[in-house]
Amino acid sequence: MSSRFDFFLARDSWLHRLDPRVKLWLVGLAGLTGLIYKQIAVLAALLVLAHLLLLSAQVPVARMRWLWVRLGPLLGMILVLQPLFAPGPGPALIRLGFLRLTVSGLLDGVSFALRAAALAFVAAILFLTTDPVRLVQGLVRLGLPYPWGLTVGLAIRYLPTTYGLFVTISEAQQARGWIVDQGGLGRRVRAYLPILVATVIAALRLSNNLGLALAARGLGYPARRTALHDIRFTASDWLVTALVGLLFGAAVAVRYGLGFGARPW
Amino acid sequence: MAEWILEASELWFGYEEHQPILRGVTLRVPAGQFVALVGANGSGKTTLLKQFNGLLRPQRGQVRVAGQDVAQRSVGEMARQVGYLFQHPEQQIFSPTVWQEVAFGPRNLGLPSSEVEDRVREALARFGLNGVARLPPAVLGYGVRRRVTLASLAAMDPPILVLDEPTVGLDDAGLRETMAWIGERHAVGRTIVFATHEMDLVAEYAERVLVLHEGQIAADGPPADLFRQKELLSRASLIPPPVVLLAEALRPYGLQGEGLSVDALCDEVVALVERRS
Amino acid sequence: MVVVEGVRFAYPPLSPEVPAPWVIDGLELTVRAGEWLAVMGASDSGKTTLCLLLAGLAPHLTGGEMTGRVVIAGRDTRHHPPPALADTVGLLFQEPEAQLFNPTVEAEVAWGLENLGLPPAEIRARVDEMLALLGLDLVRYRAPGQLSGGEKKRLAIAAVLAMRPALLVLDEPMGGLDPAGRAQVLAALSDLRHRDSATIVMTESDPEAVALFADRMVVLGEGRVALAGKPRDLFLQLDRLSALGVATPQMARLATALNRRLGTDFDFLTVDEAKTALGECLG
Repeated sequence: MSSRFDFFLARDSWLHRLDPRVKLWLVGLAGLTGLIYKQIAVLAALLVLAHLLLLSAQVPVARMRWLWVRLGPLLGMILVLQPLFAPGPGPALIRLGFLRLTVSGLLDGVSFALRAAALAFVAAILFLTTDPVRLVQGLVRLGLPYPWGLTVGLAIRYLPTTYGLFVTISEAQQARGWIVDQGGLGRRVRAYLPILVATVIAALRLSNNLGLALAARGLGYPARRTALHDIRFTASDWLVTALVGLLFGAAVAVRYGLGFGARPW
Repeated sequence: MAEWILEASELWFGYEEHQPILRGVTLRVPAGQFVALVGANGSGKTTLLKQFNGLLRPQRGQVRVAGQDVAQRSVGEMARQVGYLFQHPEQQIFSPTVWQEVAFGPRNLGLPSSEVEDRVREALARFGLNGVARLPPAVLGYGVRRRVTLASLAAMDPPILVLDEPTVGLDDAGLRETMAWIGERHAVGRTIVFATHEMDLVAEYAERVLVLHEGQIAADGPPADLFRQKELLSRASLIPPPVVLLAEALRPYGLQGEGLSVDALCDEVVALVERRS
Repeated sequence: MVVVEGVRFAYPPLSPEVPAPWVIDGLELTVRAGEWLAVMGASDSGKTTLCLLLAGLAPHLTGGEMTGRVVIAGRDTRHHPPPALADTVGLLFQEPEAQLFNPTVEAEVAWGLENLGLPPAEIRARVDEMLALLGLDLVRYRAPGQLSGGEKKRLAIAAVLAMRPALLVLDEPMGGLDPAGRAQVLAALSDLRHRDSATIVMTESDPEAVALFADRMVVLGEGRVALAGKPRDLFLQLDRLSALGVATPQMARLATALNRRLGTDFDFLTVDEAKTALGECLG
């Protein structure tokens, strides 16, 4: 069941081989770029770039489509709610009671939705192409204590499992006659609450057992931890690090030196 | 009333593109039959069972329950006809108390509350759960939680029971209790489809056994017939129960070896010994 | 190898007013080096708790109250917390599939060895050895989630065994497996037994597996040893086992039924034994 919901895709690509620290650097700076620009063209370019990187890492198009489908509701909400509730200045295109629809509001909505999508796909680069073991090693090398690093790795591993538990429990409700798309919001919330509680209980049971298993397998053994495959910075890692740094520097210079990209259009 | 209560025709399904788990499954089950579904881990037993109440939908082909196409109906509606038991109690108990858990199904059937209460009381009593009715299921042991899931199903009393490895993790007493209940339901005309790895249960209870192998029904017939198909058994990684293996080994001594249970084999051996002396 | 003396254990109570029951209540048990011991008993008879006690996880990580002592290879679990015991006791949990968390089979086996702080060359050698022993060479770089049920179970065993524990504790190692998977796991364990004369304590509810492999068995009832002896001696006591909620091998039931009707004294437990015994009788 779990493999169906896993993030990491084992492939042999340049992004997979990249040191996890470099990828954290790349994803961090790309994310920051997405946050400092409001320019639709820049955000769209960032989104396209993220897709190209994922393609170059042999991530199947189906997986990207999957992510788009998951993002759909969020993006739709931003596109609708942002213009309605923060219309901004300018003449109204349509008026509906106290609600106004303006060009600037619409552009803001597009910009925010693009930013959310770009950030999601940039983060996907890290999670889809980084072996969790290497990610943990990277974090530990950056100074995080091993148990903390492991916690990050386990969170990535078990988040999909927990989602799977939620899905199964909600299926169990339906299998006993619960009809999902019926009735009002209150009724649906009342049905979801027990599923959430049951998921939390099942997840706690799982994590409790996992804690026992980790201890039994020597987590906290009185010895310095070693690694079968250690991570090492190579020439190409340095090259990418420098390149990403330069690009980010340029992006900052354009944004704050020239003042370009503070508005959506 | 349709002739077949469960039908699948040319059913294809896979979780990932280009990796079908079910590759053209066709089967028909008449009302009231006791059917065992066997096959290796990962052969798609659960994937097939979930088609019968709409938890999964065919990607090609059709599934019909009591003559009606499942594709048109929600899982919640299907539950009136098909009771489904999941493999792990963890994944199907969601109510704050045992009483509420058992009442959940009957309430969804839209029964009057007095009827719901009667059914819950009856189901709790049947599975010896009166003492824990007010407790949260999470504090109970595995065996008791398994009984809670059976009681939840019993309170709905659907005409078809689809059971996914109902005896896993149970001790001997729990296993016998579970099989006894399933046997009772069968005796009053319910249709039973159960997936299992336990060949002794198949031999003892099933009228008919379906072997799922490489996404298709590789064998279909009474258990005794299946146990004779050596080549298929080994391909589908199935091993007949010890009595069947012994009966075969004793054929050269003149044993017929028709029985599938310890008692039947014992009778045959005793008869053989008495005839000899 | 294992000495359990006068042990009582209770989990922490769910609420302070209600005292928790003794799950293990006066348990006495010794296991010799090289022995394969099967532990049977009804659910809630304390089998899993016994496994946790042997690995020191109870009471160190579970909390709760314990009296008496558990000594594994000369080390008292009260004074050696679980991580430090990891090189002495290997524990395979019930449904260990849920506890495979590494992205590859290789990484899963290496993880415990990395905790022990072994040099990478040693880790590699042991990983190679374990994958070969458990027939997992071909799936070395696969994700554990993609393996079959039997493969996952063997991987979990490999991860535990690689740490070369003096005692191997297995909690329902055959649970949820199909017959082929069970055969694979039993064959791997039996290999291990002949190769390293490993000491194995295994809780198991499938009597056929116990009849085939265990040297000795104990049946737990109400938190203590209710019956102990060789499978051949115990499995023929159908009524006592049934009262303790333990299933019996079909062949043992057949032997008992034949003895009752024919006045024979068959004591076969497996198909092969039955074939020989009945062959002589009929032939």
